[in-house]
Amino acid sequence: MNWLDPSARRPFAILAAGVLLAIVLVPAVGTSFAVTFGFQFLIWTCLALSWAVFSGNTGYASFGHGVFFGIGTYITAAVLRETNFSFVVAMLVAGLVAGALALVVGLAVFSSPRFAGDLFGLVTLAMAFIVMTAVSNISFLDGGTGVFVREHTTGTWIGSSTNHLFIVAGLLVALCGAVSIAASTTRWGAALRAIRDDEAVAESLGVPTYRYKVLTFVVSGALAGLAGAPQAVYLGYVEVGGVFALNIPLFVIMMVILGGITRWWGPIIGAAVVVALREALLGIGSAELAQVIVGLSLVAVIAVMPHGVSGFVSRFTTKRAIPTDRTVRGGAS
Amino acid sequence: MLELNGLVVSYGEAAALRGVDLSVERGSVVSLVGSNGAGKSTLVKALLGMQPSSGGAIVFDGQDITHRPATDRPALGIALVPEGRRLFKDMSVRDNLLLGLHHSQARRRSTGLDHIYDLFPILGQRPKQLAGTMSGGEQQMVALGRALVSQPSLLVLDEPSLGLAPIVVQEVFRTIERVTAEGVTVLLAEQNMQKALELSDHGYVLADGRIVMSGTGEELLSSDEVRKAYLGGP
Repeated sequence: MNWLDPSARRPFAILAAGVLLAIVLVPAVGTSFAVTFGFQFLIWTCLALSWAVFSGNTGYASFGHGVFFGIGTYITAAVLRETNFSFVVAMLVAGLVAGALALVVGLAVFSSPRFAGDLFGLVTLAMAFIVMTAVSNISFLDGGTGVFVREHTTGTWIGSSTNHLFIVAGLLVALCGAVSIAASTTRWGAALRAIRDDEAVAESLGVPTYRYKVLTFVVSGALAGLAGAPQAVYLGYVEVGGVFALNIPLFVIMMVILGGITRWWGPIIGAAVVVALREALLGIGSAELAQVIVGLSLVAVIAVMPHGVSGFVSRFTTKRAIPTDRTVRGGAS
Repeated sequence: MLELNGLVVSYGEAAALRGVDLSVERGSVVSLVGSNGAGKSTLVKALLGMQPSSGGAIVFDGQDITHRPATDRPALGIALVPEGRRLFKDMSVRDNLLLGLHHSQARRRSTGLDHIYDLFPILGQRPKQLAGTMSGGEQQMVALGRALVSQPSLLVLDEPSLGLAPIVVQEVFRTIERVTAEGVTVLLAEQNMQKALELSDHGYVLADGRIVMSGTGEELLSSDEVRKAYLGGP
């Protein structure tokens, strides 16, 4: 990768320090509630960051991100059940299979300019239904009854403590964060944002848009697939209705909109806000009412901060001149 | 350097270019003039590989590039300043310029951003400003810079004066003159016929998808036909 900005090392250092601090401190001093809550926040953060890597940068909104996460969960369950391989192997297989699915979908969808606009979103939604149906009917994966993971992880390192799940999720956040930082500071990332703004002009500058879209979609899907692995162990029992629930991709999109994509850390803020809000609203006793409140607060935030929290913050750090029609004489004369 | 031989481009049933022959000599400024809808932008898009042609050939430096993809153009040394500038509005001036160096061949030829900052000092003073927040004239400089940073051998400008205030138009044309003085070959598609022909070595008049007249800039400007049809003269 070719770096645009030599100062790009600083965000990596901040990310590494933050994750290291969390995976050392939280399991050591946190209550079991804090660790469980923290684990959920980290998994949502992985999903939000990995969604934003593709959809945030290129502007192609995917409604199928939950599929890669769900496939990762099911592949992990299958590997742990059918083989004696370790959790780490199962997680890598989960990432690979999710990436392969993204590759097949990406190669097909991006080969036709017909899917360039909103149709891409519909295709990813259709993919969600197809995969969900397939998993329900493939007995190796599920077959419609749900599968137990817990009995295959008891006695292993990963199954013995939520602390260990928290550590794995923390490392995955580090990975997703590193990819996000790379996307905001490299030539590759700049090209993705050029695709979002004007695909035809990007091509005239030599950006291989088809290859970039497919490969980035694969990276995004594989990262979500990896996140499915600790989720499978955490759930203990996986079933199609829960794992492929359509509100998962919707929550992910909401997090990214809320946090904004102006800065790489926007999705992390979005995930924190949504997860905390949902947790806080558990007390009111009605899940539906909680959803409504989360939705309304999203609308409120967008009204105040159209580019999300990170866009709001960077308004104060990025130099923006007031547009004028005056030309500056010194410029070209 | 560039030859179009009987180029035909159709949008579905409608032909936009009906067999265009045109040639551009190395080091010259050639303008392509004509009224709105004559086919100027279509020709530019076909040349850049953004619009497939259905007949004829585009030959650049002796190679037939008719069916080469748009993403190859930076390798060939063809750069575009698109109609309406089409900057990456949410990105900084610097990132816009750097995207002009996305192609490895463009980076190999380039002498870096300083060259552009010398040409347009205002861009050097505000590299972090978001391109979309600049004035029309400044945006045109970013668009020119994004194309020129790759040190192209052929610079294609599509309606560079469109939508700009007269004083800014003056400046854009002065910049084109300075760029050509550096030895860049220019193909200029422009509705502002008077201005375009004044600085051109050669001009082609396009009407309804065909070349209806061609000659040196002076010849066309003094031609009665051109004056009557396009310049509102006697």
